[in-house]
Amino acid sequence: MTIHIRERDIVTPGQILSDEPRTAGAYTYVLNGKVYAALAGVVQLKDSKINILPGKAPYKPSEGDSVVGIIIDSKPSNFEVDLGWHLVGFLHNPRQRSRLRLQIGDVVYTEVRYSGIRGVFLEGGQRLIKIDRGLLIRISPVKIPRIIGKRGSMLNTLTSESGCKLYVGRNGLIAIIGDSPEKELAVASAIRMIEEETHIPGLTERVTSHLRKKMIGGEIVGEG
Amino acid sequence: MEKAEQRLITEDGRRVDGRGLDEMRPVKIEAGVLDRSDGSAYIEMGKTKIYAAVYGPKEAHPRHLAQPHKAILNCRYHMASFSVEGRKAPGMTRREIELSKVIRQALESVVILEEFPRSAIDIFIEVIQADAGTRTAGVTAASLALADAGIPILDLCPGIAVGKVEGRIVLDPSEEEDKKGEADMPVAMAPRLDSIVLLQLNGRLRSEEFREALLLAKKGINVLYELQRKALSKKFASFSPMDEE
Repeated sequence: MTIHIRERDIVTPGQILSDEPRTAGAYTYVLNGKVYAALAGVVQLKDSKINILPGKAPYKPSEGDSVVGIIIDSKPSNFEVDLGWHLVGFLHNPRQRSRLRLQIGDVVYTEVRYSGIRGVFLEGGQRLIKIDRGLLIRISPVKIPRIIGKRGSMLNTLTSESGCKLYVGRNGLIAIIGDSPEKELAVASAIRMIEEETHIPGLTERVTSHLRKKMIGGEIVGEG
Repeated sequence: MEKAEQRLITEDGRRVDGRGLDEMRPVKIEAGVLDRSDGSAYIEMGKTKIYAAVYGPKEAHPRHLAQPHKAILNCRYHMASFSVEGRKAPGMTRREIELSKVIRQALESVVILEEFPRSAIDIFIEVIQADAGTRTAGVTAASLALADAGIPILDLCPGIAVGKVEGRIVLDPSEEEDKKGEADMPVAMAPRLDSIVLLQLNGRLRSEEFREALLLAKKGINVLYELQRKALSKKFASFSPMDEE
């Protein structure tokens, strides 16, 4: 087994990565028994797979992903949910099973139940949450892991510093629910900061001080 | 008769603009130049200047064109009305419609369309200044814009034209050589896959001339490919991703 690249290497589309098809990970393809890069990005070797972390890429749904969407159409047995970008998910009408009443324009937080040739189907059962207030923002889907952070560390910082509740969708939509618009906007600006400064070290500390500075009018956690 | 005409190639193998037979014009390639597009690229080959922008994947319109198993590719090659000497009517001419189709087919062979079922990817190629070789420069820019947009592709596909001028095979003919020459052959390739994605031929070439021309094109394509890769890598120079959750 030959691997032609190292961790953190920058690769471009068409570049050969390995001679072992089993090592093909995210954003790679296999041709004639060899693994090639399908995107430009940074190489990550994880669990004997070669993944490429792109700087920019459209959202591709996979089963179990948490997503935030906006209901755009109501059909007799299901709802169509705009997942941002190019995707429309189908949500089986949850009315029979729960007290939840949904209509066009509502924002929901749920899970992807199936994604494939038939389309994208969303979980309509217990996991479905209707978001009826707060601030909805959209960022690039590849930056979502950075918003969550290592074992949820960045997300913890965001919620504990601001006291806001965050619904983070893998599709790049994030709902921020706080008790004042100032706090919500402070979190939104912190998220924008994470999106732009992903590559600069010491991000968590900067996010903390940024949030504290921004939250004038809201209660300030710690001494600032 | 030959005395009255200006020679395009001198005895010592120099062309009108001073290039050797196998030399291309100065090239500049940049990725990610347009903020509002999902992916973009800019290319300059001598006086030819082209922007390419990619939007999507997004919902396919009209809806009946959407394919359940793959995305559709829309491509528009357009020359700005100020791009040529005199004014070009701003609408799509017969030539532009044809080139849009040819470029679309070239790119369809490298884009992994199955990744985005039921959606559409739009590619816009806008020629700002035209001085021969616009379709190949257009493919070069468009494939780079696709990579910049994060759309999975098998390979970048740079393209270049080769021509026959006064009986000699030349790389990257200029407008004058293109007009007065005997043949013009634009070629675009996916170099890593070693496959040709676009090849057209205007005029006549003997079979050994064709082989020579194709080899010369490959040489130019490899140079462009490295420039494309450099333009893409440049964007990742300061990028060191944090570990995921």
